[in-house]
Amino acid sequence: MDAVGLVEIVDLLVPASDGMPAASEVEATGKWLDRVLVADPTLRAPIDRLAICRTWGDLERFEATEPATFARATFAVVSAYYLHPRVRKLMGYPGQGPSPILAGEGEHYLDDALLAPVIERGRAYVATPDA
Amino acid sequence: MPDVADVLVVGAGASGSVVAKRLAAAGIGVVCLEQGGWIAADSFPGEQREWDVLQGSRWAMNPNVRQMPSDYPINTAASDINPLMFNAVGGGTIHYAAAWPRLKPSDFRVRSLDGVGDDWPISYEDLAPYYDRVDRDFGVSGRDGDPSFPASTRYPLPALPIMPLGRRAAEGMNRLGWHWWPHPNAIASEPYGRLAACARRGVCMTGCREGAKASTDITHWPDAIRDGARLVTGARVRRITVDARGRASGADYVDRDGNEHHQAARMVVMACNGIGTARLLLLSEIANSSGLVGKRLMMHPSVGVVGVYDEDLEGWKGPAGSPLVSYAFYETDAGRGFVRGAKWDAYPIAGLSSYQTFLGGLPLADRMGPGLHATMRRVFGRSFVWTAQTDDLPDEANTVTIDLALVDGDGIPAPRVRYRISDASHRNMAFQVARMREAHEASGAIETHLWEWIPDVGWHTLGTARCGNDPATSVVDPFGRSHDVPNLFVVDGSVFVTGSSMNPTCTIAAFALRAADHIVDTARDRAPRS
Repeated sequence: MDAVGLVEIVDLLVPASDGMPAASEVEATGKWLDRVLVADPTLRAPIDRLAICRTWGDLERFEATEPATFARATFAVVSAYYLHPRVRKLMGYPGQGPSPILAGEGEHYLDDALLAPVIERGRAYVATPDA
Repeated sequence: MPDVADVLVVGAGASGSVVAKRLAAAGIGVVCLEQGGWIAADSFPGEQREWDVLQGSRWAMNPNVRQMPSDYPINTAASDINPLMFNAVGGGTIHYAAAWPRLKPSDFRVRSLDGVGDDWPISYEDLAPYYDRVDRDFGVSGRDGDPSFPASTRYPLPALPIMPLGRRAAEGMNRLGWHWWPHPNAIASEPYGRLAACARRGVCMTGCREGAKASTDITHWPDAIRDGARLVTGARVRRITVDARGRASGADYVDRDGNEHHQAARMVVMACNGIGTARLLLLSEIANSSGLVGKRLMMHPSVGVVGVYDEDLEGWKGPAGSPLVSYAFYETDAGRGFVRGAKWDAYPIAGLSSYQTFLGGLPLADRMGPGLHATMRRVFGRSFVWTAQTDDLPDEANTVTIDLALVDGDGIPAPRVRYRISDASHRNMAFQVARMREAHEASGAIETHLWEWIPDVGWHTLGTARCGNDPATSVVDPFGRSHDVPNLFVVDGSVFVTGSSMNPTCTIAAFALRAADHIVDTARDRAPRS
């Protein structure tokens, strides 16, 4: 893998904009990509394929000719980027942690008035014909 | 372990667990052979930062991707859909969404009502008492009174919160006059038996670390083992054996060290899902005078539409599990150009990188590069997906057969799946996609995206050893007993006559419990033990 080339092309895929850092600013091609590749070693080949791209045009041609490989390469890049704590904080994403159900939360989202139209329409199934 | 088991259960997933628990409670000696092992809750990947990646690799639902030692390969070269499964104590309940709908009365009478497929030899009313019992055994959270079903359901736990996304979805459905209801889930909304309360991590389909999801390693096996059932893990069955009279006599199996064993039994119960049971019956060359073992495979072609909204819906938060269901387009309407219909679910979308999987319709510059961050800010947490799971009717050309070259890690021939999505299913999905877009628009979505899940939608493998009254046109009787081998039962999703559009575990469990009751009730009629 051409490490320098990979950093440059990944920054094309994930540039700094809209208040978010570029991939290279958060080690997305370093330790975070390493974690992704440990989690799924089959993503290494798509990343190696990505690393030979140099321009946005190369990326477009990569997607046009090898869409499945391109999708896996970009999935790996994005996954690595979104592992970084700073990126997650900027996205307002705490991860898939626990969020216990609070007392009264069920009723908060679902009151009787919301369900009333469904109930008022009455039976909505086809009965067993020979029952 | 007994030299001769009263009953040998093959497979420790949903149906095998239900049978083992019921028989053990009745004092019947049970031995269960399971090719997988116990999965420790702290090994589930939901806590890990790279969960998004792991759910597509070593925790993938597709065994051909996951390739755990307990998995066997499946030749899917001729299949439009990949069969998905998990091989462990608890089986598919380890990674199912735990959506827990019953079949509807019409699902049992498709031939009578719609002139296609076949009627089941049992009715909704036959299964209703068993539905009630498995609802309690699995700790189902739901809201009573759904007018889409006969009015008998009494769920043991209150429904899970429908969350902001469910409310938004419901408001749109009300505007259209379309049915919706809080979905029953086998996920505990409150502590229940050995189940903890749901923590809404949203990673249900890679295992529940809380132990809130009703996987049968939690809900059933501790009771079965307490009552004397013997569970042998790492035991891959090679074949079911038969005696000179053609009765099942046990099973040959291989342990994880490659040692060959035979477990003798007076009765054998197959509980290996719609792929595994067909594979073993075909390898054993039994129970197939009808020629239907392995035929009529159904796998529920499914498709989703993501809606993006202008508010934070906490769209990454669980349960997943389904907060909301709709049966608005479930029953047949002849004007649609196909019969039967689909079940809809409103699901959250967990993780960040998973968003890439449905943004493919955008230009590259809008989903990567200069547009990536703006797009993600617009969609992340502000989206949910309506999914449509369609009723694919049985077709004898959709099959499980034995592959002539591929073998598993023990040298046992692997299954080959041939499955083609029918034209009717394609029309059904196209219709549902159009309606799901309308539903999102009625809820105020600012944009929608098609989410094409196929081929990885084969969670439900059904129909490959159908039940029926006629030995010429069915493999097992209405209780799951083989027409050909009187002491052999099938209790998994193989017995389905038609597939319905429902997540099948609730019905699989109910059918298995009914079969187990029948085995207990008729035990006194069988020959005395030798």
